[in-house]
Amino acid sequence: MSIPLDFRMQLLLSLSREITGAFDLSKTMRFIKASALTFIPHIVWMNIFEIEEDEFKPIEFLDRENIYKNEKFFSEIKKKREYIYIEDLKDKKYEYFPFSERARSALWIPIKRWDKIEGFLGIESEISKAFKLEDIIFLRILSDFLGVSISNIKLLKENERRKADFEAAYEISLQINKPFKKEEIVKLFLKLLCEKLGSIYTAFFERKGDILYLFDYHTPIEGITPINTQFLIGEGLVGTCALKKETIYVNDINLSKEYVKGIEGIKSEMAVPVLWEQNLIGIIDIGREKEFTRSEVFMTNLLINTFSLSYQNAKYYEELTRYINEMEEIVKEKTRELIKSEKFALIGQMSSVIIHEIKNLLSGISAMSEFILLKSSEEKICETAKIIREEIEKGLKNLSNVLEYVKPLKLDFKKRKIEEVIEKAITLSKGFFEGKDIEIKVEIDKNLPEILLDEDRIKEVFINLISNAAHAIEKRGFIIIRGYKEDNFIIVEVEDNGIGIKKEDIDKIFEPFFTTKPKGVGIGLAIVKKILEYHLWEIGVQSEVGKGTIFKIKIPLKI
Amino acid sequence: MKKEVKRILIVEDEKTLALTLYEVLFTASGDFEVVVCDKGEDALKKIEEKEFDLLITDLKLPGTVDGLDLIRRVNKMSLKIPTILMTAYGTEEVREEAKKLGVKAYFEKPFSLLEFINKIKEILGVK
Repeated sequence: MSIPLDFRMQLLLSLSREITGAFDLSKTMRFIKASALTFIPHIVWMNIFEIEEDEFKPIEFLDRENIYKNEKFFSEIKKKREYIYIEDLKDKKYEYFPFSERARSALWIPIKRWDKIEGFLGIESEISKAFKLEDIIFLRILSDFLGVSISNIKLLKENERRKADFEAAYEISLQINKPFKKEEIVKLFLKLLCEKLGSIYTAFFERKGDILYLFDYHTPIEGITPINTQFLIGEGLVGTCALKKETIYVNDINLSKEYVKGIEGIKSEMAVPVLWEQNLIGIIDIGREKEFTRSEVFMTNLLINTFSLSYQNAKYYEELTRYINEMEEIVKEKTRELIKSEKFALIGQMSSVIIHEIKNLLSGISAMSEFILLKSSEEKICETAKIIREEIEKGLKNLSNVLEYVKPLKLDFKKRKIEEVIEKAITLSKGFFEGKDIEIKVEIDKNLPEILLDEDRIKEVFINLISNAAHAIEKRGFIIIRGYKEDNFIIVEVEDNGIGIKKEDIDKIFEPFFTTKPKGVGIGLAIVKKILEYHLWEIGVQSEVGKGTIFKIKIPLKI
Repeated sequence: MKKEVKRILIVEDEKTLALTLYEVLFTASGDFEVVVCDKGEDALKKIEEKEFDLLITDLKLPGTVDGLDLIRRVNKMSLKIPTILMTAYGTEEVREEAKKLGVKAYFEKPFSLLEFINKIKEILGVK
């Protein structure tokens, strides 16, 4: 019986429409089978084998079990990229071919799409009748349709799976963005990832220097604990992943001795680097029984990127919180200082009243002594009156200094070049050099930026330091004033080669009322320190008896 | 021609200074008549009783009327009396206020007696 060609063509046309419109492989298969049997009634067996990850899988007709296990047969037909036609199955050459006793000839046609073999179509004819050339052509056309159909279905499946992956990734990313704490984020992520991949365990190793420490892990199975809690970078799968900063996965741990993992049931392991701006934060290690597919690896990487973002956010949040806490501590400390300074201000007010009373009193005595000096012609009386006057003046000067120290400062900040302020201070300090041979050298970097300061107060600081230096020099010597930039600071040094400060005195020199001079109340350096503290500048001192002293002022350019 | 006698009122509670000022002014020129008191209230009474050519006052005074109050009150009187302010509490604010009130001279304690006498002579136009 022969069916006319034009009828066959018409049927092929409608078949092609059915096939390309179908997204269900078994439905497609039914069309194919129906068409094939209509035109070639002597077909006794027919099946489609899909190749997925290098394995043959029958799509329908789960008969003839033996066929699926015949490796020699499959490797043979896989090698052939074209169809194989065996007209007589009794031929000894094809002994290994699994075929039905009832069959005469067999036809194996590769199902191709874009030159990639998606599967095979296997057909056998009944014992009395071999396939004719036109049958073979017809079946080859059918197999081409199948190729289109299978690849369409695969693409569709792939798309759906990717969509699902993205949705899952999105869902996970939403969830892990909720907690604020690093520990909570890690815990939640490991759990979600474990569930998503159906793994036996997931773990996060945090990197600290060259060592990866186990941060946390998750497992749905009771009693599993990770064997290794630390890895050196470069050691094992986790360490290698850290070294290469690349995802590594092994699908059969038993085969890969290098990555032996003791946890029972795990056959596949994947290590993914957690990176932030190319820096390695840590490693996510995943172990499970099932192998990892490429798309799972891709999705895991996607999820871990999201994780690294959340983790880093939490870390920043943590740092910020710590910073805020530190700031709070500083504020508390400063408040305590302020309270202290308020008490001090009260003492200051009291001292101020007492000092003014004394000044008032002394002014009378001073005027009286001057009056005596003016009126008396007796030398001895005049001499005594003069001494009284001088002593009162000295006393008043010391009182003014103490007053200066105890009263709170009001500063008038302006932008000034430190060099200019120092030059003015030097000019005003010339009187201290009288009767001594002192060379003063100024070595200040001309490019230093302008800084905010109270000019009068800072001038006072340098006059004080220069006067101290001059006092420390007995007859001859030098004073060097240096100014330079160091990191975010301007450093100003006042150096002299005078008598120096004794070791036991160094810690006390900035304390009020400490002095080694026979005349003086010891308030000068205390005032210097007070003024600098109001500027938030620091002062330190280095000194060696007999060699000299260096006062070093540290001026922050950024606070 | 008979010299005109200039009358000066000193308000100062610090005895030594008050005495010294009295002595120095009295001896500086025979043409000064010096009256001393130690309270602002007393000073006001004395000004009402008799005319003065100059008022010298301390800033801090016992009682309710201090040096600046005293100057303010005197300024409101029909007869204008030049004023000098002395103080041991020299602050910028006091100096400003004194300037506003038209004080002729401002002395921060302790001060030089010579400068003080010269200033008084200058104010009163005495050689």
